[in-house]
Amino acid sequence: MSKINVWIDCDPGIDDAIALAAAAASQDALHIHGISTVAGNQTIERVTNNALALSSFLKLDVPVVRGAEGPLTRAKEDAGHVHGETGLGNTVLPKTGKQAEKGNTFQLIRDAIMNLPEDEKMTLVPVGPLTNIALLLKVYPEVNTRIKEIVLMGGGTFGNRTPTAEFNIWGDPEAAKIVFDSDLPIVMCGLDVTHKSGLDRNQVEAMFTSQNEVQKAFGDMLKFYFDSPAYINSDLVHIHDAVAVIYVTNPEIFKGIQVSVDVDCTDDINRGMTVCDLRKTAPEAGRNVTLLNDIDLTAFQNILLEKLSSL
Amino acid sequence: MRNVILDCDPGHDDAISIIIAASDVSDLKILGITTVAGNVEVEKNTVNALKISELLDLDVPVVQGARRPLVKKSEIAPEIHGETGMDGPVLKDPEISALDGHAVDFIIDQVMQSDEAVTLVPTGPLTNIAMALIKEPRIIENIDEIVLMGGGTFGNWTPAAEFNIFVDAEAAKVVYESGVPVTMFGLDVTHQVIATQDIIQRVGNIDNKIAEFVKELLIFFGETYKNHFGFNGGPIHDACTTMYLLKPELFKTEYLNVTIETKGEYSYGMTVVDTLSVTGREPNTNVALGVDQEAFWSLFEEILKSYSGGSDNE
Repeated sequence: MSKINVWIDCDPGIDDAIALAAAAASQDALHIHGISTVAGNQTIERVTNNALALSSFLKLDVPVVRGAEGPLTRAKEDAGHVHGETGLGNTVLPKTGKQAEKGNTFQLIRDAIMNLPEDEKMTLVPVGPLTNIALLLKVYPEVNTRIKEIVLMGGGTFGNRTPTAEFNIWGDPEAAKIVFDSDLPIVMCGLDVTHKSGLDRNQVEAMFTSQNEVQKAFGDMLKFYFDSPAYINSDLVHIHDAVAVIYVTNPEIFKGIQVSVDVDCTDDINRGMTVCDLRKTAPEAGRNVTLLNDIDLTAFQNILLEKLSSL
Repeated sequence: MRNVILDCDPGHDDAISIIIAASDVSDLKILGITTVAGNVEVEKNTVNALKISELLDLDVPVVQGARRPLVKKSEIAPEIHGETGMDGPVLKDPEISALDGHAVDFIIDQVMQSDEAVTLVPTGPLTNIAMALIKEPRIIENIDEIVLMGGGTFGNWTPAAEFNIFVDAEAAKVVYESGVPVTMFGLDVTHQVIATQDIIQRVGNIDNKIAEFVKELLIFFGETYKNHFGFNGGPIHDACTTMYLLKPELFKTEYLNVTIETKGEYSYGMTVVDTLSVTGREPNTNVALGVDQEAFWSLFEEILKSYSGGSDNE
C-alpha cells in the first residue's frame, strides 16, 4: 500500500510537539513532505525554532518552512500561559543547526503538492491557526484538486478560548472561514473529540521517569500540562494536536458525523465559533466537514504510546 | 404555595405546561396567563389560552401581550404548531374572554401588588417580560425567579439558536442582564423529554378528558417534530418549567454565565453558555442540563391521573 502524503502545519506548542513525534513514528504509513509553522501558541520565531529543534530531535528529515507571522486581519495573541515561555513547557531541546528553507513558503508548499505523482494527493494536517492554509488556497488555487482532505485540529461545538470558540479558530477566524468555505473535504478534530482523548497521569509519569531521552523530553512536556491549573483536577491530559495525526494513521478508532460549518467572523462574543449544523434535517448540501465526536480512548492511548516508545 | 405568572404562546407544549401548573398535584398559585407572539400570532395564542382555561375550568385572568418582538420583525412557527397554533385536538370556541389591558401592565400590577414574591414562567419569546422590566424596574425586587424555556448550547431554529430566544434575542438580553435569578430550560434538557409512542400510549391509558386532550396534542406535535426535525416524538419543552416548579430535584442544573448573542453572523439569538468557565464572567443563570426521565414521566402520569377525580369526569 502506498504511503499517505502529508504536509503538517503547526505552532509548537506542547501538543504540536507530540503530534510531530507521532508523525515521525508513523513514517511507515506517512510520507511527510514538510512542516510549515504559523504564529499561534507562540510567536513565529519561537514556533519555527521549536519546529526545527523538534525535527532534528526526532530525526525527522523533512523541510521546515516558516509561515505567517500573524492572523489575516486581527491582532496576534499567543498562549504562553498554556505552553510556557518557550512554547514547550520547561523543556529545552538540544540546539540544532537545521535552518528553515529559504524561499517563498507558500510556493514551497504549493510545489510539494503539485509535484506529487499525478495519481496522488496531499493530506494537509494543520494543527494551529489556519492562516497558512487560507493563504495557500487563495494564492495557489490550483492545489485544490490535489488536496485529498484537510485533517485539522480546531473548533468543535463548544470553545476553550471563549465559551463558543476554540483557540486555533479564534486565533484567525477569517482564515478558518476561507478554509471551511473551500468545499474541500475537512475532518475537524475539534474539542468534541480531543476532550475525550489523552493520556492519564500514570502513562505520563512512565514517560517522564523514563531513561529514554526522547520519552523523557515528551513526558516532561506533558507533565507541564498536568501541573497547570487547567489540569490540576483532571485524570486525563488532552493532547489536542496529536489527535489529528492519529486520525490520519488510524481513522478506524474515531466516530464522526457529516455537517456543514460556518465560522463566525463578527467582532462579538461568538467570534471564532465553528457553527455546526447538527440538526438531523439540515440540508445535505454543504456538509463538507466530518465533525469527529467520539474516539476509542484505550485504542488511542495504546497507539500513541506505542508510537512514542518506538522513537 | 408559589405565585406564578405563566407567560406563553400556546402552543402544544405551553398547553401541557399550563395543565401541569393547574393540576391538583401542583401547589402553584397561578396569578394569570399572559400571551405573546411566538409559535403563532398573539391573537391565536390568546384564543388557545382561553380554550385551555375553559377546558380546565381554570378561573384565572388571561391577558394578551406583545404582538411582535422588541426590535426585529415577527417570526412564527406554524409548521410546528399548525395554523391555529394548537392543531390536533379540536376544542370549541371559548365563551370566556381575555381581560382588557395589556399583559405587560398586568405583569407589573400583579408583581407590585403581591405580598409575596412572584415567579415568572415564560415559555415563549421574552418580549412581555423585557417590556415589563423596562417599564417598571421596581418589579425586580418582588420577582424571586424567572423560570424560562429557551436557548441551550445548540439550536433548533438555526444551528445555534433556539426558537424562543431567536424570535426576540434583544428581549432575552434584557431579561438575562436584569439581575433577576434566571433558571433556564434549554434544548440540552428539553430534548431529553421526548413524548415517544410509548409515552403517548401511557397517556392514552389514562381515562379522563384532559389526558385525552394531551394525547391528541402529543400525536400532532410528534408528527411535526418527525417531519421537520427527524425526531421520534415531540419534546415537551415548555413543560419542563412547571415540572421544575413542582419538583426541582427532577433536574440537574449548573450555575453558569449565560450571555445572549444579538449580533453574530450565524449565531443571532444564541444563549452563549460558559460551560467551562473560560470568560471570567460571573455566573448569572441556573442552567438545566439533565433530567431523571423515569421520574419525570412518572410524575407526568400522576398529574394527568389527578384530573380523573371529581364528578365532572367525562
